Amino acid sequence: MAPASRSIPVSELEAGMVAAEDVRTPTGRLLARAGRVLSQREIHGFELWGVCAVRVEAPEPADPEAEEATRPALALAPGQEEALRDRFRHLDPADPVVTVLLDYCRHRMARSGARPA
Amino acid sequence: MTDPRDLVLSLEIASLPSIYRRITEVVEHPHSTAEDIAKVVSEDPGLTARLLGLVNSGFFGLPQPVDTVSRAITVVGTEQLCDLALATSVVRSFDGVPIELVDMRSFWRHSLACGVAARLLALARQERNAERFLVGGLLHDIGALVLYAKLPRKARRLLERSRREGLALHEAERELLGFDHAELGWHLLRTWNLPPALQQMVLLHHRPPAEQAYPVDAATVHVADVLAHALDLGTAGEPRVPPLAAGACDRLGLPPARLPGILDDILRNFAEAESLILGGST
Repeated sequence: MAPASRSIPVSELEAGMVAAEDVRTPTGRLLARAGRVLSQREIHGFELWGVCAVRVEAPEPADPEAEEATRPALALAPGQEEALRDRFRHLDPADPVVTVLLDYCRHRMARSGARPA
Repeated sequence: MTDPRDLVLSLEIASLPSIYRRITEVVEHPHSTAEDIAKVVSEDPGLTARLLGLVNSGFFGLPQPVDTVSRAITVVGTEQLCDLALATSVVRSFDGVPIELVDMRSFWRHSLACGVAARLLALARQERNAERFLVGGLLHDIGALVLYAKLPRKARRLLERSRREGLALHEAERELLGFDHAELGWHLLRTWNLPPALQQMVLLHHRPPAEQAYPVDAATVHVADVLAHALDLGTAGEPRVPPLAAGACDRLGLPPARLPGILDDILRNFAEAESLILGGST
């Protein structure tokens, strides 16, 4: 089975991370092969070449439920979690994009305290 | 079976505000200068104020304030200024059409949120003219207004069914009518003779971008629509976040980790644009 991976912005890359896919410039020029342990110098080079994000191997299994368990619990008002899940019912909660969206909306609702249901 | 083209043609207001036409004419004239364009824009003081407000807002983050239209054209570009003029004109295109099924302010708030989101997604992809995406987002659901104006009883049934049964509105429309609001909007944009790139954004915003040939512009509006719904900034009728096509964000080269930053920017830009583009009257 391929190792779990996640895509992160170049600004958040750290030396020692492992490229999960070939890293290429927006025009397709190869900068680093998949499996390469990235150095700070290479990361700087990605920025110069206009690379936005790089898929790296994730040290922990990319399990949304496990990630969810490590996050601080959010206290949404009664009914808000159900209302949020109903608004998102057409979307696949296992999709990483949807996970991020739901999390963002949950935090926004918790901050505002009284979002409409 | 109702023909979507007939619905559009039977609309009492099947035209855009004339100021946009006049701006387009002068922009397309080979010998026109920034001064000529500025002269036409200045005929409409409301438009002038809205354009200068936008150019001086956080949308552009200019280091120095811009106080004349001709200077704004030099700074943001002719094509971009033309698109901004269209953006601030389309929100008035249905003024005077009696529509009871949707709160018009809420409709345009959702449309603007989608436009702001599409523009930011385009900027993230380093698109040359991001303002075109502001217009694409503003117009993406305009077909729904045609539906509400021309087939109000059927539209009411569709809205009720979508709320009750949890069916996405555009899917319910296709089942009952054989077409959806995206197709209706496409016919309207064709009638208005707007650029094909805008027509495609509107027509395909609910279609899953599975094939390689799917235009990335349409994928941008598709994702922007989902983000605008997720942020709950108004609605065009659809009560829920519409389905997100698998791979749509990949098509934009958008990793999930970048989304929170983009969502923050959407909220910030939307707050500025709402009063500038929608004003207090819509």
